[in-house]
Amino acid sequence: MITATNVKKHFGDIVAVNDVTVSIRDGEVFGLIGTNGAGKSTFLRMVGGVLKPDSGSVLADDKPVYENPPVKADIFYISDEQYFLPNATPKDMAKFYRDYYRSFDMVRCEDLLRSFQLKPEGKINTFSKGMKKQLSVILGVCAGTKYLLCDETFDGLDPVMRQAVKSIFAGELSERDFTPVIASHNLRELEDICDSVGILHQGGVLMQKDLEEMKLNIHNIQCVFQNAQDEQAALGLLEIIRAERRGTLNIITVRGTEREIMNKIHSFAPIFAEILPLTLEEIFISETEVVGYDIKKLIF
Amino acid sequence: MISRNLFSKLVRQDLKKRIWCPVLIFIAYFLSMEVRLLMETEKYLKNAREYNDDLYDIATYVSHFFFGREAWIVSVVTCVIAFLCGISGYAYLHSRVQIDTYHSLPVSKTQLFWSKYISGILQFFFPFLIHTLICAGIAANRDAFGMETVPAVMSYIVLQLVVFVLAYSTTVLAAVLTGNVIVSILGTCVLFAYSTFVSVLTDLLAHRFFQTYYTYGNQLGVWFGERISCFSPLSMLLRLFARPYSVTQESAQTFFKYDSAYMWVLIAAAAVYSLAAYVLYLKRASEAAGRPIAFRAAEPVIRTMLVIPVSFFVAVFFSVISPDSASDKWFLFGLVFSFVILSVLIGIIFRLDIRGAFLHKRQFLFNAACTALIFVVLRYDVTGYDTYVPADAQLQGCAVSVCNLMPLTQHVRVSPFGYHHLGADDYRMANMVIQDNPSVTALARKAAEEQLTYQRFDYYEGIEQVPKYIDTMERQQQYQQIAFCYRLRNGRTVNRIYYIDLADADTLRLLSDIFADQDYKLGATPLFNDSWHIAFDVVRCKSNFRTGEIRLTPEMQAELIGTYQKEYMELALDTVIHVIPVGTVDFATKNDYGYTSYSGKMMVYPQFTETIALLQEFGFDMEAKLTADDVEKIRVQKNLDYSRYQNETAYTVSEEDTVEFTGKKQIQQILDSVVSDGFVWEIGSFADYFDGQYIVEIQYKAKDSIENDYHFIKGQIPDFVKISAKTD
Repeated sequence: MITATNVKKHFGDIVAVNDVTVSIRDGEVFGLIGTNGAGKSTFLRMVGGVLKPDSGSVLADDKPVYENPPVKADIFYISDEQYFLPNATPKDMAKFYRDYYRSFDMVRCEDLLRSFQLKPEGKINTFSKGMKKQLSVILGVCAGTKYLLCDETFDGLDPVMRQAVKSIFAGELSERDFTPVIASHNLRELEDICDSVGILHQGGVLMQKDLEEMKLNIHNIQCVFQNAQDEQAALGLLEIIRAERRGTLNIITVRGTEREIMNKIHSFAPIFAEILPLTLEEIFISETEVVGYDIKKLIF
Repeated sequence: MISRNLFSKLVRQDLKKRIWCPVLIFIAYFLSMEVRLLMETEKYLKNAREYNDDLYDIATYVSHFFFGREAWIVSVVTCVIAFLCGISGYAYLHSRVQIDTYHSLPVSKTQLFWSKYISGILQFFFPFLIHTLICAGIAANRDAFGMETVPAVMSYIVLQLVVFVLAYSTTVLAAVLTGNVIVSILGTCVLFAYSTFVSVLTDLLAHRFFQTYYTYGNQLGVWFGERISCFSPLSMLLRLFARPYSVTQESAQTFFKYDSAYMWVLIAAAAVYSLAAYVLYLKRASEAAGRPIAFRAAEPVIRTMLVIPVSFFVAVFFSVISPDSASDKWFLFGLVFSFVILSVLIGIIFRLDIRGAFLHKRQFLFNAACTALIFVVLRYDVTGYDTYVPADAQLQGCAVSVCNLMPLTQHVRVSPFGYHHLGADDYRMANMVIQDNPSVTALARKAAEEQLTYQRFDYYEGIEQVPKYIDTMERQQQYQQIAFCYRLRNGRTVNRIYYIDLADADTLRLLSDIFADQDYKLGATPLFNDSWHIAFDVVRCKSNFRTGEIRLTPEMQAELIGTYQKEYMELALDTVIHVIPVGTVDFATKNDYGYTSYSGKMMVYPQFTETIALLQEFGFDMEAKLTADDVEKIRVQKNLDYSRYQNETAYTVSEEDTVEFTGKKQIQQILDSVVSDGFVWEIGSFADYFDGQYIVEIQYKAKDSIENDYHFIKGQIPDFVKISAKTD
């Protein structure tokens, strides 16, 4: 487990990360969301052992990461602009990382390169940005580390490739102790990958939630009641986050389980009541509005 | 075990990553070693006779020159290679992208630093070693590789390795201190040459502001060898490769040897720089990549250390190129201008932002105050530099060098390899020790108190009529330069130079006391120095009208020098000033290319009866006279410079003012009243027995005789000369 406690990092007068406390459980895909400059990269660089926190602690499996090679041997950090050796080929890079990561799987690497249609002997400097990102993920996965830190790695990947990467992650998650941490400025990019999400804003963590838990505990419902008294009574029983009314139709976002909410509504015999699909984006909009933020301005 | 494996893997990886580096190094060494050796040996074989005359063969050339003193040429290449290796190896510190990769790897910073460090050394060392071995092979192929070459090659390898590590560690330190490649290159230059720059600047400022500032020895040695601030690699390397300061026979003989003791200083400096780079590397934050200076705390120090000295350097430059270099006007302009510009520029560079120019106002004021303070201290001699003379109780001994009083040749051939510069002041400051002679400090105090300065004028037509010029020139005619070296009891050596006025009776009395001191004479010329005796080929003799050379056995040479020394020791300053010498003797070596004087032309006075007799016995009659029968004609020319330099030997003549005399009576009369310009020239303004109004040119009848210049003896200008030359 990665635990960051009250982590602060300044760059001169700029506060890049301010008092961040985050726990990333083993075996989950953790998404780190935030606008540019929110502190995602700085946070990941501290988790990756590149930067030393000014204060607070960053632990991986209860051991400090910075200047701790045995701990760093379990972490592979893919920066937003990954460095490749001059004039190197994917094979050269695989050999490069093999020297540092003892569990680097060369055979798997070659297989994955083939699957992604990347030439092992091709010059990386001729690759497109997307191809380089694919290569970075392949190298990261093949390094066999427990933690894989991906900084904006998925941004710009086409849906097919994202699906492919997702399936690789799924495979890794099922086969070994693997915890990817993915930073992105785009929530939609992470929606179908992450188990848990933390939102960073202005250097601090706005919130950290388990996605499944969030999806199970928040619902979007449209309903029409027989009269105004029923309507008022029914809505009064619900924990409404957002409410919209179009004529007699109520569109409400409500906290609670599906069964619990529907039971309460049906007890007033509505004319019509159904659950609408809720996107991760809508969930976050609702959640952050509660704490006083307009997330549209923060993330989308 | 794993760690060692990883370390070697890291080194290998780095080598692979920078494979262009050893390739470039290989080419650079090929050109500077093999190609150069082939060219030089070819040149040697073409001019073998010339080299052989200098008593060394091709094997000696290879071991003493190529692998010896000329190693500096390859050391320059080595330094450039060190910059290349250092910058390319640690440039990743200046790139955020690379730092993210390297610092996220499961490797400690220690391993990362030393693996790159070792890799850089290996990239240099293997190509260099291969080239050295190839050169040794080439030398062997040309019969230029003897047993003595083996230690020369070994020390050459060690030398270049040390030079590389020194320059390399400096570059690495600069790379670690900075966060930007361009600033890192500038930083390397600053670190590499800072103390050199400061030494040169100190010398320039002292020359400008202190009248009595004086250094002796070769200038490189003065700048870099004598100072404790010799901490930059460039200063150290210049000192290592500077020719030995040939003021002693021992140092002159080491002309082609390195100062092995100083090599340890280089090694220690390389270790210190490397360690400093390592410690700073550990402390360096990864986020420093991209910032000009990696450590914020270092910025004010760097700013002050750059702005103040560079401002003074620019100020000196402005004053030198200005029409009046002595004036403060352009100096101050340069100082203020460069101070402001540099402060602003460094502010911008440190922030990579134009707004950085106006930050740090307090430091700007602090630096300005320091600069102003330094200027005031220098300009108004607040420390009393020019008036300082140590107290008698502080003095252990003194050396005094009086310009023109005793001759000393500038070049001495003391080893089979060539000549060595030997300035008169240099030799005396290093070899003379006068003790318990109160006249020395009395003269120094008098000179320091009087603060005489020699004013020079830019000449123009009619300047001779300007009263200020006339007054000044008259006053300065008798000025003489005198250098003092005070050896203090605390081990320090203090040098000062003054002007003294020979027209001042007190000054002349004190100077006579010093000249009468045996230690002065013994220390004034290597001719009287037992440790400097070397074999002469000839003694070149000159009387008023004749020249000749005599070859003597070593025993005869020793007898002549002993006799001459005995009589010279009794010589008084009054004699030098007023008595016309009968001749000069010059102990010299000779080869196909000419003579090399060892002693300079030493005066022989009429009082030196034993010397004169001995010379006559050895075959040269110093007292032989020239008769009118030997002379075809005499030309007397008016000295156009006489009004300006009455008592000096400088002269300009005009054909219009030339009168020829062919009558025997007139010729004889002139011959009886002239003194050779050669005698006068040697002791300059000390000679008070000649009249510089005319230049007398004697043309001998013998075809192979040369024409010689003479001056009339004071008060003995024949009337017919005055009338013919239409002067009173």
